[in-house]
Amino acid sequence: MSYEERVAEFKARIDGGEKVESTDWMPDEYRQSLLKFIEMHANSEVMGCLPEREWIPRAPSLRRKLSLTAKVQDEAGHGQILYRVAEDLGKSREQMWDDLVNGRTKFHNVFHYPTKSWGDVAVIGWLIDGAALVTQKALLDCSYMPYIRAMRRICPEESLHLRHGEDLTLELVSGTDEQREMFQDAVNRWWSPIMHFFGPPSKPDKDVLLYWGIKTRTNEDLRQEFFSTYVPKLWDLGISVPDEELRFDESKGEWIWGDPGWDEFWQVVRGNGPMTATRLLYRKTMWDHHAWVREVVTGVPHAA
Amino acid sequence: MHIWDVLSRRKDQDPWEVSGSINAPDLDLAMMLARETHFRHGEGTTFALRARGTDAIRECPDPQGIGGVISKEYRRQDGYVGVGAKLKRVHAEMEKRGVVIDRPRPKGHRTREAAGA
Repeated sequence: MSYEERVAEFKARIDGGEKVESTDWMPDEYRQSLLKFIEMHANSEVMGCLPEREWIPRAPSLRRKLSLTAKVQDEAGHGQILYRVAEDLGKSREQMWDDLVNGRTKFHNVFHYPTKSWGDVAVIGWLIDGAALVTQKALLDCSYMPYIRAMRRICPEESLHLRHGEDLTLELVSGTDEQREMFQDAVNRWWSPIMHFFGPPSKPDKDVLLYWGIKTRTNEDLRQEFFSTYVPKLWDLGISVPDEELRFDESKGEWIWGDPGWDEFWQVVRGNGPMTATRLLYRKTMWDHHAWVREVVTGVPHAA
Repeated sequence: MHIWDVLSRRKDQDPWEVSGSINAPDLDLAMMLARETHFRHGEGTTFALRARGTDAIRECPDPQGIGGVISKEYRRQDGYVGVGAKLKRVHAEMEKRGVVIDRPRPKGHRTREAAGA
C-alpha cells in the first residue's frame, strides 16, 4: 500500500469516528499537527499557573488561599498529564520545556497578561476557565484517544475551577461598591484577551486541525457558546461587557460582536505580551535552580 | 526514565481502565506521582501501574488514602454546593438595585420580562 493510500485509509477511519491510539500508524501531518496542538495546550497549563500564583500570598482569607493553591496545583498537574501525552508523539519533555522557556513554542494569549487585582482572579476563575472549558469539552470527541483520556481527567477539574471562580465573582459583585468596581474593571481589561482566546474567525475548510478531527468545532462556534453561557449571567449581575456592538440577534439566533482587532493578539502569541518575558524568565530560573532535584531522582546526566 | 501506564477502577468491581500515563524512574516514585497526578480529587477507588511494554500490573498498596484523608472540600465540587442558588439570589438583589442589564438573549436564559420584573 502506498503512503497516499495509507493516508486515505487513516482519514476514512477518522471520518468514520474511530479513535487513534499512540501506537497506531499515523500520517506525518497528523502527528505533527497533534503534537504542536497538545504541546501548546501543555505549555498553557503550566504558564497558566503563574498569573494566579501571584495572588496566593494576597488571598483575602485562608479558605480562598487553600482553594486558589489547589487550583494552581491542578493546572500544573494538567501540564504533567498533557506533556506525557505529547511525549508519545515523539518529542521529549526536556525538549518541549527547553523550547517553551526559550520562547520557541507558544502558550495561550491570556497567560501573557498581568493580574492587577483580586478581581482578576475572579475573572480568570470564572470567565477564562469558562472559555477554556468550552474549548476543552469540544476535545472530548477528538480523534486521538490518549488526548481524550487526558481531557476526561482535566475537564471535571476545570468544571470545579469554574465553580471556584463563580463563587469569587458572586462575592465581589454582591459586596461593596468598591468590590463591584474591582470586578467590572477586571472584566473591562480582560474582555479583549478573552475574545482573542478563541482565535480569529477561521475558514473551516482550511483548518488542518478540523480536517484531522483534532479540533471538532470552529473558533466561532466555540465563541458563540461562550457568549450564550456567560454574557446573560454577567448582565444578570449588572456587569457590562466592553463591546458596544455585542448583542444577541434573535432573528439569526447568534451573537453579533465587535471586532476587537487582532494586531495585539498576534503580537502576544508571538511572545511580545506584557508579561511574556517575565513569566518565561521565572520558569527558566526555576528550571535551572531545581536541576539538583532532577539529578537526585534520575541521576546526573553524562557530559556531552 | 520509565513510562508507566496508569490504570484505574471507578468502583471496586470495575475492570481496570487506562487513565493515562506518567514518567518515573522506579515503582515507588511512580505510585506517588500517579496518586498525585491522577487521583488527587479522589477519582476512583484504586489504581495500578503497568510499566510500558510489560504485562505485569502493580496495584496501589494503600488505596484507602486516595484523595487525601483530611477535609479538602475546596478541591471538590461538593465544596461549592449552592453556588447556583447564590447566583439567583445575587441576580434578584441586583434587580432590586435596578442594575441588571436587560437585553435580548438566547432562549433558556432568564430575562427581566420572563422573570416577571
